[in-house]
Amino acid sequence: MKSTASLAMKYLKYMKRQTIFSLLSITAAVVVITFIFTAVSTIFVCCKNIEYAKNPWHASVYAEGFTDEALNAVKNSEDIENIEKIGENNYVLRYKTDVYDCYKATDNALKNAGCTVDDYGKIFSKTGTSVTYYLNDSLLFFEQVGHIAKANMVTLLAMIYIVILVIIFFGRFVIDTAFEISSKERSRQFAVLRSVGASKRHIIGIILHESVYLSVIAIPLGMLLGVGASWVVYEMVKSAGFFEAFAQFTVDTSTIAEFSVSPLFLIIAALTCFVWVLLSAYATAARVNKSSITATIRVDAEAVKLPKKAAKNQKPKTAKHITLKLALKNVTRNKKRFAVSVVSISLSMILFTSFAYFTQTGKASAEAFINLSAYDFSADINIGMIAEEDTTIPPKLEADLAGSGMFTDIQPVLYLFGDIAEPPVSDDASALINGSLSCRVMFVNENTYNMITGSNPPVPYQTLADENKTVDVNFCHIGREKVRILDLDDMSSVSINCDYYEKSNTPEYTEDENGNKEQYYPTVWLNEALSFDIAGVCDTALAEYKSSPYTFTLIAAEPNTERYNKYLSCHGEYIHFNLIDGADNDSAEAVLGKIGESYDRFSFENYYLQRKSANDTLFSVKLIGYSLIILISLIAIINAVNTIVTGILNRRREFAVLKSLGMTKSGAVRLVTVECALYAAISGIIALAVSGLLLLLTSQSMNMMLVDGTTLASVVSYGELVPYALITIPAAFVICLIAAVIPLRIIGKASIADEIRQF
Amino acid sequence: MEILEVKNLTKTYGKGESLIKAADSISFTVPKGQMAAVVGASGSGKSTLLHIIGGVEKPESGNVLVNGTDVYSLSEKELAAYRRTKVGLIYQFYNLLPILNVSDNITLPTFMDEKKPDEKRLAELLELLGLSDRASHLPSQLSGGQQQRAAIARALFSSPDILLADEPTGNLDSKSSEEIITLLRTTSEQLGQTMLIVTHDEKIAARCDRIITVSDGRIVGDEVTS
Repeated sequence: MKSTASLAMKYLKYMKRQTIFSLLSITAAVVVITFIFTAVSTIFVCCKNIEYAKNPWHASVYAEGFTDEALNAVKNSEDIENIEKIGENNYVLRYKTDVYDCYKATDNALKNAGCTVDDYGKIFSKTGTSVTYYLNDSLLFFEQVGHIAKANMVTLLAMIYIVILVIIFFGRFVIDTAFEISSKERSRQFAVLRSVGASKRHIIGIILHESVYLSVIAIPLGMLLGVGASWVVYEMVKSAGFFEAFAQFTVDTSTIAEFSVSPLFLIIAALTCFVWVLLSAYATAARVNKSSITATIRVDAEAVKLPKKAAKNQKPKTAKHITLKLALKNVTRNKKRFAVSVVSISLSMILFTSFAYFTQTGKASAEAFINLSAYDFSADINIGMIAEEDTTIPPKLEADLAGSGMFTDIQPVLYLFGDIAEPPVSDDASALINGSLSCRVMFVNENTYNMITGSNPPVPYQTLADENKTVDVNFCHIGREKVRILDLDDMSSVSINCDYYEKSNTPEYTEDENGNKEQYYPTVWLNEALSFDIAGVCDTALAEYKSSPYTFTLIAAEPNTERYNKYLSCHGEYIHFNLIDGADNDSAEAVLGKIGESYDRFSFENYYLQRKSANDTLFSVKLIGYSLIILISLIAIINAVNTIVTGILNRRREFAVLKSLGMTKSGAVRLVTVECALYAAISGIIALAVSGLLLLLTSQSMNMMLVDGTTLASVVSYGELVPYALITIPAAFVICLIAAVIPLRIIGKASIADEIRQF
Repeated sequence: MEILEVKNLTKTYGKGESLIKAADSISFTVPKGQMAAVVGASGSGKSTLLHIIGGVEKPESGNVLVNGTDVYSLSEKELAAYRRTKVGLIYQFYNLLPILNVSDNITLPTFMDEKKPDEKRLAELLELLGLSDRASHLPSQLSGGQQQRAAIARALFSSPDILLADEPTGNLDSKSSEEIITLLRTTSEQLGQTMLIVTHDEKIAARCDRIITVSDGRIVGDEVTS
């Protein structure tokens, strides 16, 4: 052990470049892992703080007739830490942290307070009234109180850990490559050691000791940098207002934002990294031990391979031809080195592409989620009314808003009340959403439609028909009742089956206790199939119609105002406008209140704060995503640079021989340029294929995720992600070229004779 | 007393038309203290024979007995110990570890055994091989001849049963070659060290006690020199 430890230390000291590369590789992997673990820890603590700020109790009890004596009995129960009265017959309590079963603890405490339990487990107070309680599961979970919370936490942590392991799996390749390349450079030295009597155990010992020494430096350093990086991202997220958005302005954010470094998580991260390092080192040592001593020691081991067939007479080659030929031979003659390099560079590219994709997807999904589940975020403020009467926006209202000097981008829009995108409720409904085009049907008064859009729709119906597009149809509301699209076959009209109600013309009578009759007109539910002509199709480019992220909106115009008001009365006109930059929302509220006094039939809805919080959330998603991309890119670049630099330095002797035969410096650069282009192209093709597969799988899995009846995949453009994948090829080429030229310059400074003699 | 017995060694490379018989039923013995040369054309199987005896390349069939021990009946661990203590290998390209100085390179086999190196033995060898003033130098600070002397010292340090040298002067100038072969001769005579030297050089072969000629993996000549 002493000898292997000593030799390992000598190697690390002697081979400074490899040591630094290995250190950087391990450190980079540890930074990412620590970052992820710290992020998870911080998110957990912040969630706990939010839950605590909202409801700082574990259970809420409703009990009538509770006396002070009963309250004390509960308080003195074994598992109860405290109980407080918060209102008439309302109590909240907290359990002791070591409680096992919260339900049993509560039942026992209530029994101590004199409550009784019937055969069905229902609890009654002394006065005979039912006692009910419910647990604050969220806080119990985050505070880890009770066995259910602990079990759930273990399950969640296990799931998170699996995700992290997948990320680390990629990180491990970085470490693995560093060890592999470092050991390849010393393969002859290891062979010599074995020839003078080093056993397999010695070789494993040397490489494992090296890994331990490297870990001693790289893991704490990586963790420090990882925690630092997490803290920087945390501060940026905090200053971006993420926590306000996250807590939906319900609690004081100063009490919930908390950067957390969990010692347990750090230990898990450190151990995980250390295990990966040891595994990489062991795998490398095993590969070294498998190689033949004599073949490795032989200096010209690569050159002794005999051609299977004698080469035919060939014509003399041009200089360019020879460079290409030589480059091709160089990248393929040592298949192992070629495979290691290509796999390493491909992995770097896949890492970058995948993370760029996930970031893009995350951002798009967050946007889609907000659009699907939240408000119309196309503007800060809406003014509108339910179109039961006159739907026209008075011109004076627009003038008043403009005249206040606080608002900008004032424009009339069509707006649909309620959330029309709902999950399918039957098998029949799901059959309606199997097309390639999503849309919703918006019913508007023809006059209003013409007023806003003019007579020409942005995308005519005929265009859709010519392109043979099919139309997905979701359920939507008319008159706040569900309707179903019956027929869209010819796409020139839409038929709906409309449930609606109206007062019956036939009076009915009720009788009170004294026998007096009272006349009334009952509400009668009616069902009517209605058809509307499709007047046009709006695409998403028309922002004012984009209140949800459907690809197209069909405009089904209804010229008959009476019928429109009767069946489609939930739709109306709105004015959208924004606060001017720098305007104070409270002042704007005051101005709106004053203007609103003159327009009492209109509703004023200010989404400024929600919109701001949504944008802040998106910013945070982007920030976290891009931070991860930068970290992953760093790992990918270190990996690629390490592979190429070491590959070139391993061929010092070969370059010296080429130079001795008259190759110029620029000739050597040309040679590696061609090699790097080949590496980038081959790796790029592999990376594109693998990334494409990953994207496809992710896209498919996203198809299964429904938010308000719409798949997230439908709002994530697959095509937008291709440039991320394509950009990696030239990037890999440039990085490889730079990584190749630097060691070439180092080699160029040494004497040819020394290089040829180099051991 | 025979220190080395080689029985029916066979080793081939390649397949079909490109099959090369590096050892074709080779058998011979070397008595203790003999300095034997193995000569032959390139590709005749000299180095393969040496590597098989050195325990670094397994034969397809046959036995190698060193001091009565069948080398290839040993376990992996025992074979490593054999290479550390029973045999000393010298290569054409010295193969010193660049990270270790001369002293550490010489004592490397003992170091592997977790034993304290014999300082007296080290000093003797350094003196014998003219490296006393180079003990703390790294290989890169030595000439080719000096590096090869350090490699010889390393091979001798464990007092092996047999010293195997593969073209020990192949990478040296004539003056250094002469020094090295004189050194090997002196060592053989003074320490009674058994040696098997693979060489192309007839002058070196002529300085040995015996010349074994190999061709196409077979012994085609075996003569004792005067």
